[in-house]
Amino acid sequence: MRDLELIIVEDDPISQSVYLDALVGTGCHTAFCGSVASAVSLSSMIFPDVVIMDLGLPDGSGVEAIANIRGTCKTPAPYILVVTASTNSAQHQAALEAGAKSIMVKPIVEGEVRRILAQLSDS
Amino acid sequence: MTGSPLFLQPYFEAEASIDEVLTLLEGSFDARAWSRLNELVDGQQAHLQETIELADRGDTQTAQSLTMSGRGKAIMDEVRTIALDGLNRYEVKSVETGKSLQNWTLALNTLLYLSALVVAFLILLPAIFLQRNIVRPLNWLEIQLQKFAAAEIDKVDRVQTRIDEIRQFSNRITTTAAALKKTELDLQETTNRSHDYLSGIIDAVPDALIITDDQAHIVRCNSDTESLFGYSQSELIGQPVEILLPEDLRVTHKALREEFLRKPKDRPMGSGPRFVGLAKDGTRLPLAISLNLFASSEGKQIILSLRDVSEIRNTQRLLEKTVEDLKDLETKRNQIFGMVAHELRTPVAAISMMADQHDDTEWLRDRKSLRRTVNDLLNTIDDMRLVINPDLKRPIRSEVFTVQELNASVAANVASIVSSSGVQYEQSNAIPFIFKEAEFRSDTYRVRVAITNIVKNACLHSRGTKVWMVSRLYMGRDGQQYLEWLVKDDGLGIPEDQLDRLFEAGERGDSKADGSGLGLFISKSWIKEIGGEIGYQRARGGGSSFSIRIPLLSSIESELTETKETDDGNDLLDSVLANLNILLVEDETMLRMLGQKLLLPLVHDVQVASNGMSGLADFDPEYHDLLLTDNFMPEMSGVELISKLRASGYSGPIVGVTAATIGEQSQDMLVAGADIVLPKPLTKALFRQTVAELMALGHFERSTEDGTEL
Repeated sequence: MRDLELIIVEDDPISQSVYLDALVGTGCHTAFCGSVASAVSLSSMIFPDVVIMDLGLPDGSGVEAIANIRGTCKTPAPYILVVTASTNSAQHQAALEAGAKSIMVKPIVEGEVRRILAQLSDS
Repeated sequence: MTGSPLFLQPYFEAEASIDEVLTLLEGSFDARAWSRLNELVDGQQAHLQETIELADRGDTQTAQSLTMSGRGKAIMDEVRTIALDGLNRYEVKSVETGKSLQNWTLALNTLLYLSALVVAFLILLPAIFLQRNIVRPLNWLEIQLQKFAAAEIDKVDRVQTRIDEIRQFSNRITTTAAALKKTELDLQETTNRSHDYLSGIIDAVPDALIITDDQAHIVRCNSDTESLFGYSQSELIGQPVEILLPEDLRVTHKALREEFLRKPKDRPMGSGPRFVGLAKDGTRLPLAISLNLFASSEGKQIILSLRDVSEIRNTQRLLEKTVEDLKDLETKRNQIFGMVAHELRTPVAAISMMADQHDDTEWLRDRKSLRRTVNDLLNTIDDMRLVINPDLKRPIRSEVFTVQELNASVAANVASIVSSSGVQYEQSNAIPFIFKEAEFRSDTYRVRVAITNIVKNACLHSRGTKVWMVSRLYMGRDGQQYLEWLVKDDGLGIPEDQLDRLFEAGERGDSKADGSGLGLFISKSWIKEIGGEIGYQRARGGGSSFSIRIPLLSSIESELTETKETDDGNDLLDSVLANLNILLVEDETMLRMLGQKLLLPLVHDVQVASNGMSGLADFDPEYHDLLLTDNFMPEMSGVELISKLRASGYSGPIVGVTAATIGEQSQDMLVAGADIVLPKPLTKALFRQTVAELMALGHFERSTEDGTEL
C-alpha cells in the first residue's frame, strides 16, 4: 500500500468537492486543476500515478490533455481515468485511443473512485 | 666426542701425527728436549680436553675463544720446532756416521788394493786368502752399512712428511682462528651499527630525550636535550637528573621519582603535572614531561621525554584572551539585540493596540493585513530572542491565513534569490477551488519560513535549472486532510549517503553556497511542533522533491472553539473584572493612553502614573486592586517600584508589562515581587487571561465577595 500521486482535472467546483469526500483516508497527494494547460504543466512536474480527467475543459478537450500527458510521463505511465458527463461514444473512443485506461460517466461514483485508487495503491 | 665442533678437527689429526713422530724420533733427542716435548704433548692434550669439554657443555663461544687464544697454535709450533731440531740432529748424525763409514771403507779398500797388488806380485795366495776372508766380509759390511744409511734416510723422509703434515695442521688452525676472528669482527661491526642506529633515533626524536638509571643518573641524552638546556652531553652524563630542575623543585622531584619507581606506570605527555626545568643559563623552562620505565641489560632505566611548552602556554593565554573578547562581544551583541527588541516592540505594541481598538474606523479598513504585519514584526522580535537563547522554544501561534496569500508571500520572499541564482521558478496553487479563498489557521510564520527555506535551498544548491512549488492536499490515511507544499527541482538530487543526515543541525551537504546549515533542521522541528511533517524523496524525473505538510484546520472551527472557551465559566471572572480598580504605570504617553483605553471597558477604573516615583505616590492599597507597571522608566524603574511596594507590606497582585522580552529584565521584576510579567502589547484577551491566572493564585478574593454582595 503506497501513497499515490494524483491529479484531478475538473473545472467544476462542486465536482471537486465530491472528489474531496471520495478521497478521505486514501493517502493520495492530490493536486486539483481545471484546465488542459495546468493539467499538462502539473503532470510534467509531478509525474502522477493517477490522473482523473474531465473531458470538457474551458481551454480545450481532455483528450488533448491525455495525449500530451501520455507523451510526457512515460515512467511511471499514469493511470488515466476519464470522468465525463458526455455520453458521446466517439469522444470516449478518442479518449481511450489517446491513452485513457477507463471511462466513467457522471455522476461521480465515490465508491468506484475509491476502489480504483485502492487497487492502484496496492499494486 | 659427538658433536665436537669442526674447528677442533685439526687438533685430533695433529695428535696422531705427533704420536707417530714421537715414536719415530724416540732416542734421537737429548733428555731435556725429550721431556719438554712430552710436556708439550701433555699440555696440548689438556688444552684440547678443556676445549672439548667446553664444546660438549655447549659453551661453543668460550671453546671458540679458547681455540682462538693461540695456545694450541703455540704448542703445535713449539712441537714442530723441537721435532725439526731433533730430526736435524738425527739426520746430521746419521749422515756423518754413514760418511765416516764410507771413508773408512774407501781407505780400507785402497789399502787392500795396494796390498793386493803387492801380494799379487809377491804373495798371491795369501792375498787371495785375504780377499776371500777379509774383503768379502768388508764388502758385505759396506752393503749393510749402505742399507742402514738408506733406512735412516727413509726414516728421515717419513719424519719430514709428518712434520709437513704438522705444519699443515698448524696452518689450518691458523685459518680457523682467523675465520673466527673475522666472525668476531663482523659481530662487533653489527653491534656498532645498531648502536649508531639507536643513537640516530634518539637524536632524531623531536623532543629532548633523557635516559637515566634507576638512581636518576643521566646515562644518555640527545642533541635536543643539549639545545634545550644548554648543557653538552658530556656535562650531563653521570649527573643526577635534578641538575635540570630549579633548586626549589629538587626535593619534591626526588620524592616523585621514587614514587614512580615504586609504582611505575607510563605517563604520556600532557597527562602529568607541568614541570619547570632549569637551563644552564638559569632560564626556567615550562615543560611537558612523559616517563617510561624499561628494563635493559644495564638494569632498570627511565626514559624521560621533555617538551618545551612555553609557546603552547603563550598560545593558550592568547586563546583565553580571545575567548574573553568573544564573550564580551556576545554580551554586547545581546545587549544590542535587547535594546533593538525593546525599541521595536514599543511602537509595534502601540500599533497593535491601536488596531485592536479602532476596528470601526475608516483608516483601518484593511485591519486584517495590518494585524498580520504586526504579528510578523512581533515574531521577528521573538526570533531575535531565540538567537540569543536557543534553548527557548518558539511559542506556537495560531494565525489566520489563506493559501493564496501564503504562496504570494513565499514568492515575494524568494524573489531576489530566484533572480540572482538564475533558476526558473514556477509556483502553482493546486488546492480545490473552494479552498482557494478559504481561511485556515496555523502558525503561518513557521510554515512560510519552512517553505521559503526549502525553495531557497533548491535555487541555491540543487544545481538544476528549474524549481517548482505546488500547494495541494494530502488525504491522510488517518482521515485527516493536510495542506501540502511540494518543492521540486531538476537538479542533481541529494546523494544517498547524505540522506540520513539531511535534517541534522549543521548539515549543509556539499554545496559551496553560504548558509548556516540550520535552516532544514529548524524548519523540520518547527513544522513537527505544529503537527506537520517535512519529507524528502528523490523526485520522479530527477532532482529533489521536498514536501511540507500541515494539518488543514479551518479558521472558522478554531474561532468557534475559542469563543466557546472565552464564554466558558467566565461569570466569576467578569464580576472580578467589573470591580477592578487598576493603577497603570507607563512612561510612554502613547502606550499609557492606549492601555487605559484598552482596559477601561473591561474593568471598573484605570488610573495612570508616568513613572515609578509617581506610581509609588499614587498607589493606594485601599483603592487599587492591581498594579500594572512598565520596567524602564525615568526617575524610578518598575523593579524599584515593585520592591518598595513589597517592602511596605503590600501583598496584593502586581503585574509587570515589559517590551524587554530579551534578557533578564522580566526575571528581575519577578524577583522584585511581581506575580506575573507580560510581554507588550497588552491585549484584552491577554489581560483577561492574566486576571484569571491571578485569581488562580488566590488574589481578588475580597473584590469577588464585594462583587457578589453588590
